[in-house]
Amino acid sequence: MKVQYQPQPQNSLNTFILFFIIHSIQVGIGVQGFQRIIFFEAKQDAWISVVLAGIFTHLVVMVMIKTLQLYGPADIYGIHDEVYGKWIGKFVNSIYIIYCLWVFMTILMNYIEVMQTWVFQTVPTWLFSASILLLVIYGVTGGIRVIVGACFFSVILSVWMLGLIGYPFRFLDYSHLLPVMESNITSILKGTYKMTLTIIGFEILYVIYPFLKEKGKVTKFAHLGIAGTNVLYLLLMLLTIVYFSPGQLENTIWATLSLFKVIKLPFIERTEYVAVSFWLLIILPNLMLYLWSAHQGVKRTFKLKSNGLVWFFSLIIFLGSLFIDTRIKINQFNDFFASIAFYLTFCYPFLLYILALIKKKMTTLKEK
Amino acid sequence: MRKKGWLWCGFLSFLLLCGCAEPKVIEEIGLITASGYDPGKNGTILGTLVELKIDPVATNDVVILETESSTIRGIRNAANKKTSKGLASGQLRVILYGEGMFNKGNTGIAESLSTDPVISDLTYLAMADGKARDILQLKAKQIPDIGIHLYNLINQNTKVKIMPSATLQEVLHNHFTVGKDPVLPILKKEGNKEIAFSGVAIFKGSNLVGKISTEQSFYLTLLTDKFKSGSIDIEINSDSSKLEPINRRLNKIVASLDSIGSSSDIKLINKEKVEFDLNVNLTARLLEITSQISLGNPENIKLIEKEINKSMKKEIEKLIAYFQSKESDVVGLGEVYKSSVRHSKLTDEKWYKMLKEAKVNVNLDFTIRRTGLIE
Repeated sequence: MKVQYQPQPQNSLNTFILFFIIHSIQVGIGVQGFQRIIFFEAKQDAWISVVLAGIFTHLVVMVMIKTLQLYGPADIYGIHDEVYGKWIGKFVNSIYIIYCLWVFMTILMNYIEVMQTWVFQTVPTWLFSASILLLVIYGVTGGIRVIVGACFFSVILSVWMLGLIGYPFRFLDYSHLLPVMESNITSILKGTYKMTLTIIGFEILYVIYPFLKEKGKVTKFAHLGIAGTNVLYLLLMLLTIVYFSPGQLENTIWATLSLFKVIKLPFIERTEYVAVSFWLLIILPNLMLYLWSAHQGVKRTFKLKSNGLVWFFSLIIFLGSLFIDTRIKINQFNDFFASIAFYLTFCYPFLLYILALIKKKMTTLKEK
Repeated sequence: MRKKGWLWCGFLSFLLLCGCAEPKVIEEIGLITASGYDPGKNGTILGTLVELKIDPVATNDVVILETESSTIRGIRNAANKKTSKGLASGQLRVILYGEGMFNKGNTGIAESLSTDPVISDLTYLAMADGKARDILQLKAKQIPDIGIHLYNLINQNTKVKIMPSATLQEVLHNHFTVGKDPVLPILKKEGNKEIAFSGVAIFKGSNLVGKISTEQSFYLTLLTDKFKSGSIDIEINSDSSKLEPINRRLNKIVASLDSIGSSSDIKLINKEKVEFDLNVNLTARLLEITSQISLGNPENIKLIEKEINKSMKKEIEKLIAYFQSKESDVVGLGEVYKSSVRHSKLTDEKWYKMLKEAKVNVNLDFTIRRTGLIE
């Protein structure tokens, strides 16, 4: 397998779209209730954790782009093959593919749970997962351009939600934020660690990089996308801390959705129902992109070219989703996943960069 | 292309299937608009639900259902047995507690209601003077729907800040905060035809510890909220010879103020011996005063300002002393303490002890903006 990967010209994308891709894949299921998890660790300084996590993400993305630039238009599957050799490379690629499917599963499970608790108590899990999966399959078999279109519209069409932030303002109590820095550094860092599940998604850059037309602009738009997400998270975190009292927040599983509960419009009294249902549009690009990158991985690693693969993956996920159906199971699944995701998305890029550098040095030395 | 066609068929069929998710037709459900909770027999809860039926044929749309159960949800389920339409609580607007509910400590009603995503966070909570069922059972010609009547009554009074705002969100917010306690407005049945706002219930944690009158409620709002427009009659006790009662009918001087604007600010000035500075700024229009004093004279205005300032300050100090004696922190002094002292590790118990010894200096700044059309 060659490191370089040159997609067909009709599949290449304008680089500015990277902003939408990264933003839409980062914002998804975690944003519905990340506040509480971080608040448990860092208390009223949770917003500092969010800022730190954001800064760290910028750092990781910088390293990721550096790694990719070593080889020209490469993706993670090619780099693995190059760095680890044929067999170990295949093994590591398989892990990455499984990771992508795993994220897919987590997003799907959590969204279905939210739907069932908030709006449709009686609709069975299989119906939700089957209908969402069909939608995702439609996107993924349609190719990267369809998926990217979904990303673009997902961001554009959900901007109105930001406009509703003004409603909770009459209940705000700014003294909740004081005193600043009361938690110690360890708890704040622990909070940062807990941000993992919410902030991941930017690793898509590893797979989508060869598809982008102007490689020079990648850095700019990747960082812009992440900065957009960070600002959104910070805003939500601050709003949540001043809106809920500490004890209340610890009892609220989906704080962002609960914020919608005080919005009362003349024509819709209960906006949270709209928000929860609308969330499908926000998680759809997430699901599509992860399934696509898993599919892309199999295509690159094992030279399989078939849309049947997409159906196969979907079937596995569908069957899996039937078994994880209670809050406790989902929580265990999330926690287990978060620890893996942390090492894979936040720590591994540094390792990969160092390995790739060494490998590159060695080959140039050999050639001499 | 053929493949895509198949996909669309499958997708559409699922869309249709999703459309079958438990429809709720408005004619087929009974909307609960208000609910009341009283202590029942053997520790159960006696629930009174006001059900609104959308039925074009019926002459009376409102049905009152009464059931007893151990849990809040159980009340609804039990009430469902008595009604021809399935009950839905998505339109619940007012939750009324009987006074008896608070005699045995934590009721947990608000908490358990908030776990149900169907209940809105903007639902109003209130306490009944006596039993909640007596208020909800009230039958009067001018009140066709008691649920909506209560909602409008509370909503209207809360908006002009005559009543303290007590939505589910605010009560739970204060309940879960260390250093702030919730309040509930008290509704009282007057005669056989009327319901009126009659005072404010003061809590310590979730225990009812005291009540203040509607007049005192004005001062509470002054401390915890901002007035944009409000009005009050205030009694002036003055020795000044200029301020003499207008006639013999009323042997005291009362000033009527409106267009009240206010802002307040609480500061912790001593961390060891807990001491607060409570600064209140108040401006108002003087509309009426039961004295023959000439309002054209600036000196007289100054005098009235001074006298009103004095009596208001006295009222506020009295109110705070009352809260301290009841160990209830509805003003939120504890929150100020917590946010100004680092690593205070404040707990409820610790704070209630400190609150009793805390010193509060009230500084009131009252200005008369204008005096209406005449001088």
